[in-house]
Amino acid sequence: MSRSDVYVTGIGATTPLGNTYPAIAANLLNGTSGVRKVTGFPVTDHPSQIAAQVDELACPEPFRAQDFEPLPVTEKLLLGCAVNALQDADWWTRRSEVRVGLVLGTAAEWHALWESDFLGGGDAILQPHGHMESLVHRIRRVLGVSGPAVSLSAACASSNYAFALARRWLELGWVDVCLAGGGDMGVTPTGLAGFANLRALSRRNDDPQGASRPFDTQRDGFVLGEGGALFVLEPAESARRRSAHVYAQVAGFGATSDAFHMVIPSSEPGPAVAALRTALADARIDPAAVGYINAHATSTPVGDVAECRALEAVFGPALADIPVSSTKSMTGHLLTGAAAFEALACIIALDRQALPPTINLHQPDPECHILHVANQAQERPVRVTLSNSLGFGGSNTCLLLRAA
Amino acid sequence: MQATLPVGERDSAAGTSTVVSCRLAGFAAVSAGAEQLAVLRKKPELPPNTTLPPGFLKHSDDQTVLSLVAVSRAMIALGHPTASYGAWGVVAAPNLFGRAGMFQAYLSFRQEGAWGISPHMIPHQSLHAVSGTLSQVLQIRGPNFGISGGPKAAGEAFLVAATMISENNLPGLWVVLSGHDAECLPRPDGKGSQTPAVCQAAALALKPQTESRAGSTLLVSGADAAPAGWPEFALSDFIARLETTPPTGQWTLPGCGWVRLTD
Repeated sequence: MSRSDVYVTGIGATTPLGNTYPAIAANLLNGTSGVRKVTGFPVTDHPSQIAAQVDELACPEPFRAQDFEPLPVTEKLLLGCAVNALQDADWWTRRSEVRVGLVLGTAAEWHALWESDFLGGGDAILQPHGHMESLVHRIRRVLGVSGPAVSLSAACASSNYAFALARRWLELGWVDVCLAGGGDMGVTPTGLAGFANLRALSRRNDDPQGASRPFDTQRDGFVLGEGGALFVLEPAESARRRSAHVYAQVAGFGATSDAFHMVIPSSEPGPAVAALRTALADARIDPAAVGYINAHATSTPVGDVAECRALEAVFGPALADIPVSSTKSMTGHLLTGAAAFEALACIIALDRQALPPTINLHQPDPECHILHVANQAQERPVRVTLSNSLGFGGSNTCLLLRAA
Repeated sequence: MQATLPVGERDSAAGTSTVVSCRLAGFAAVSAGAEQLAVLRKKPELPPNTTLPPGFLKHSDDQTVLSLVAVSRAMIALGHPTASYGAWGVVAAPNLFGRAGMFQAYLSFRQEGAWGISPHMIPHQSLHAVSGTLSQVLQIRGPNFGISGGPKAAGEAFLVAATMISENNLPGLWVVLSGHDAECLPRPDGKGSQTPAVCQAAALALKPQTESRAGSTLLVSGADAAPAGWPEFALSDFIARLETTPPTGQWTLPGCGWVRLTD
């Protein structure tokens, strides 16, 4: 099997911009912000009081509400995405005929469980867990699938790693079909406080929809988001044989680490550049052939500039003709779900031949020498997209998707 | 790769499709109780020419501290300059990571609200904290991420590690498995653990089979169930097996797959 023979044939997503592909695409291309004042817990003593939350974790057919509702929120999120993705790919009713694997980018299943229980007066965190199943294995069991399953976290870069592992499992023949992606429900009292006390979050509490402003000179930090997406990956031959709807080809992947700081990206772009170049080489794509770049750009003063420097180093003069946007301007930062949502944004760009904007971009930072898709979506032919996800812990990842 | 069959075809008699072979070029296993961890936190063992700012590990989880010691010991034993691992990757599979630190955070939150949450919580209690710290301290610039964080994290690590090694685009990969024996349960008052718990960490230096002939071999399959009778993977058992001569063992992995350590 050659490196490029993996297709995306199904998507399930739960996001601040909606829970169906049409709704998400419409909101994304309309420049709709999913950011608002946090609901669900008091935030009066929180430095940052805004977030992009998920409105509903809907019970997927054919599960029963009484079985689904009591599940932990992260499990509801990812189980819902998994079921919807398999249904979208038309594998749900046939999933027992094939080996379906599961690679989940998720970081906080235990923290979410412990926090929710503790704040509700429980003491689960003090009890033995050795007998318990991890979320990925519970989902595997509930889905009734037979392939291998792992979960991983590289913070913001998690879901890109999930894509890479899933693609490789298909190449190794460990699975016939693989679910890959990620998500977390990270807007929690301690999560919101932790990021805010790290001085990572925007404190533009009086203007929630204007708070996430990547590349803008007035940016003051990112906005926390929640949600995620899972994708069905399968060999191109399999997709063609069953005349599956194909969203995109998984074309290339690259990853490195800054080895600099647990939170602050390195000002030296070398490692990020290496990740980008590795992904382009993996896809056998010339930099100038990239039609759209979905930037990691979280709206932090340091990170947005650092990423632009890496893009300049890789693309050179060609960068002036490649539109770049950060959809975090609309969704906030979905943490482990960020790269998954941004892959979805790239797929929407390929599908609709329209590029999602960076909203709230009123005073572009002169340090960011890129071709912005500023405030409004842009219709433009595009066949190759590139998505950067640069995580806490120093991770640099780059995923290339191509029209199939 | 060994025993490769075309995708979609399986040898039902053998029960395998693709098996990935990795060279175990080196390893180190270490365990420590609370008192020793307190010492290591302030002054961890490090490879030559590696320095840490004072207090660097102050907010790190026990498993991060011990994982750093394990990798350092493995590097020292291998005898190569630390810089030679610059292009390697590092993945870490801690077990129920961050429980003690998060419990402290929840207690603080209950007392003080948002004000009580330390800014160190996110970078040092998140699942990627072990691999990120190792990457930063030891200047490992290949991929780095955390795996699972659950009670059976170590088993998933082998599936991930074999996948990455099979790509043949890394000179090597550090795989770090950690946990507690017995499970480390915080005291309700937040002052230590309910019973003495020993923290364990094992650091494995894996290389593609083509890279080096030195060391034992890890065979990993994610496609099939293990043969009948293979025990479920357990970190304590694995560490014990690493320390036999030669290191051998075979285990079934959570959900699907198996790993075999062979000379």
